Amino acid sequence: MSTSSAESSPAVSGLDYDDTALTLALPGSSTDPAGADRKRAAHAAHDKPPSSKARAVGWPPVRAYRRNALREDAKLVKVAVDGAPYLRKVDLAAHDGYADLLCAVHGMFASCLAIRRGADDGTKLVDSITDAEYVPTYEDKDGDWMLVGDVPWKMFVESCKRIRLMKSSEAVNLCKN
Amino acid sequence: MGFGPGRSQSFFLVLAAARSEKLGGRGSHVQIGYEWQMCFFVCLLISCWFLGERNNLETGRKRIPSCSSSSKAVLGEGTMTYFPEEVVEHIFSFLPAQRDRNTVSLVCKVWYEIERLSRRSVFVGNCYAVRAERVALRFPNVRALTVKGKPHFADFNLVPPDWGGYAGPWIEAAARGCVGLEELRMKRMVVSDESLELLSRSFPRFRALVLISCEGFSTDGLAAIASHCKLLSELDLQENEVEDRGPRWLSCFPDSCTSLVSLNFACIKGEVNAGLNLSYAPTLDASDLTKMISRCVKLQRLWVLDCISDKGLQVVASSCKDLQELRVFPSDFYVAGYSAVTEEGLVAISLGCPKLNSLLYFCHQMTNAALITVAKNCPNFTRFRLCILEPGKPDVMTNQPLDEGFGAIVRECKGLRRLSISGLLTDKVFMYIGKYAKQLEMLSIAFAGDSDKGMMHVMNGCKNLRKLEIRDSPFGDAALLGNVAKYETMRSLWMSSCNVTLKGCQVLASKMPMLNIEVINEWDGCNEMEENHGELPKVEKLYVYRTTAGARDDAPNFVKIL
Repeated sequence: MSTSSAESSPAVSGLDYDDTALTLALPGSSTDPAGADRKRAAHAAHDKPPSSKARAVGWPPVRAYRRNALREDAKLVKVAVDGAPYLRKVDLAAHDGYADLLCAVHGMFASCLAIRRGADDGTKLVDSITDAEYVPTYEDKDGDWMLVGDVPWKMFVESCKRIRLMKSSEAVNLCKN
Repeated sequence: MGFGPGRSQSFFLVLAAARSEKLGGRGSHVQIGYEWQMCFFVCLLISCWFLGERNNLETGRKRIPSCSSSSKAVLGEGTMTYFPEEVVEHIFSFLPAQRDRNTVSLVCKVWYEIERLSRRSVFVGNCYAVRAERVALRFPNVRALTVKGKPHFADFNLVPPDWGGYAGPWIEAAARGCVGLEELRMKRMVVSDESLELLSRSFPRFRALVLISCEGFSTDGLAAIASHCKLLSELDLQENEVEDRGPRWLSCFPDSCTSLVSLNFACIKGEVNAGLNLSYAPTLDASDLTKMISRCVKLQRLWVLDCISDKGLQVVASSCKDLQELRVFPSDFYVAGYSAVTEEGLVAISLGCPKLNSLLYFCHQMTNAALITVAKNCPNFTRFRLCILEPGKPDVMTNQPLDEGFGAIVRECKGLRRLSISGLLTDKVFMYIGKYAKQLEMLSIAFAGDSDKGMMHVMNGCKNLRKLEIRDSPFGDAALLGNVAKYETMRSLWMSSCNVTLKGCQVLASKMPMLNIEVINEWDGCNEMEENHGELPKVEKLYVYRTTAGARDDAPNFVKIL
């Protein structure tokens, strides 16, 4: 399940909005708080630049199967989490960057993973029970296992073949380019 | 008035015989005119009402009155059974609808027994509304079983993975108690390879498997089906998440397999006369597409992408006079993207296709005027789903909410059973829906409404409402608790990103013990509660459904059942 941002208010389910952004008001519309939430949600779309991929989770209401079928540039890769009993697939082309991808992966493995804010204000994925940190790694075109986040996003999308969230104890021997 | 079971039985039997005659049924000897049929029908309704309200498989709570005599086939004084069991069973066979059979099983214990042993088809709309073992015990001779799992919004990633909806218990219960099973249909369920293996080995007469929007299995499971179901005639896989382990499974169909009639996977194919699905073909040239469609004059069902454009829809309107169902899917999912279909295409279709009763239409803009015209042209809609891609977008001409347009739809289309609304909508549209949509069974709401009043209009007005799903709308505890008895008459309620609080859900749980109130919070709740500083935390996702099974025991840790 993909979400656009971990920090956005849940009340607008993933739509980013800025309190100080200008919003268009309808002629004769009231300014009551009950309507404000809805208007924010409604007009957040106006505030977004056309090139942005930001959109509400699960909107428009089209089945994942159909979305993937139509996306010509889909880049589906398998995601494995150490200790989880199943694999998931994520479409790298559907995400803006590493933060977006991290949220999506968290959403897919919600029962095993939690998100924590790190000291450097970055976010990381941890085991939801033991709080042990997961290290996201990926296998590239050459078959080498690398740490996620070291190369520019587009280069990552280009070369990533699959993703594995390793328990950090196992990741110590990973080579870092 | 003295309507006892005996009289209702005899009225019923005469009615059933009369109806079979009317339907051109088989071998009934009774000749009864239409007026008498209506008279008996009314008497039947009165007697069934007198004896007990509508029973529903999902609730199964009604007590069955016993007959004065427990013997089944003895004819004598004081007994209710004027006819042998076989005759009663034969008459029941003219009642295919599950609702009618449920009603009939309420009349008395003998009829309950006859009905349950002769029931061939069972539909379970919510797998958590009733225990699988109970269904298998009650209907041991079932041949066709349909089970649905996750709520509808799971299709759009609003339900986290591992929420539930496991097929395992159903297949296991059927394997133990219903060995005559021939057909299994599942929607939005998690099916494992082990379950498919068990399925393939447990039912010697199994012939049809339909899986829609399911997940959890691989082609290995399909290989088991192909290998062991000797009588398989239908394998229908639509939009499932299947782990592909290679094409080996296709070769598992035995060489002697002559039974397979319908094999459908990856996308839906149909005969060109009956239905055409082009919704996975974005590269089809628009003019080729319209040339092809203009020749399909008998087309009843058409699924296309919006690349067809308004012009293409005009061709459809002028060629396909038998069209009953139209689905126009978006090829570009971005809110600010380009779509070739507008309200004009929809109006053209409504003018040209008078038989249209089912619509799913994705577009970027709509007007009240267009919807009002569509409503006048096509009063026969039973399913009307309009998705304007930009949440909360008003009438593109007048900048007004689309309340009047949808109001016209519910007012004119008196048989409307399913409705999805979108665009800018105030509480007014819900007032219209509550007032006019009396046959409505399923309503989908997104980014709509101003206040609790909106939802309450629907809860109080829509008498036949079974499924209500809401996202990103400002409905809170007052709406949730405004008509709690209503939930007993509904299959389920889904609310996500609304204003419902945990407190409201707890109150609902305490008032209605026959409901499961599932609070789904994927995110770590701790952080949010600290930040709110005492303000009541909002429930991110809420799923409420009636059940006879109590709280389910397979819920993951992010689901709290109150």
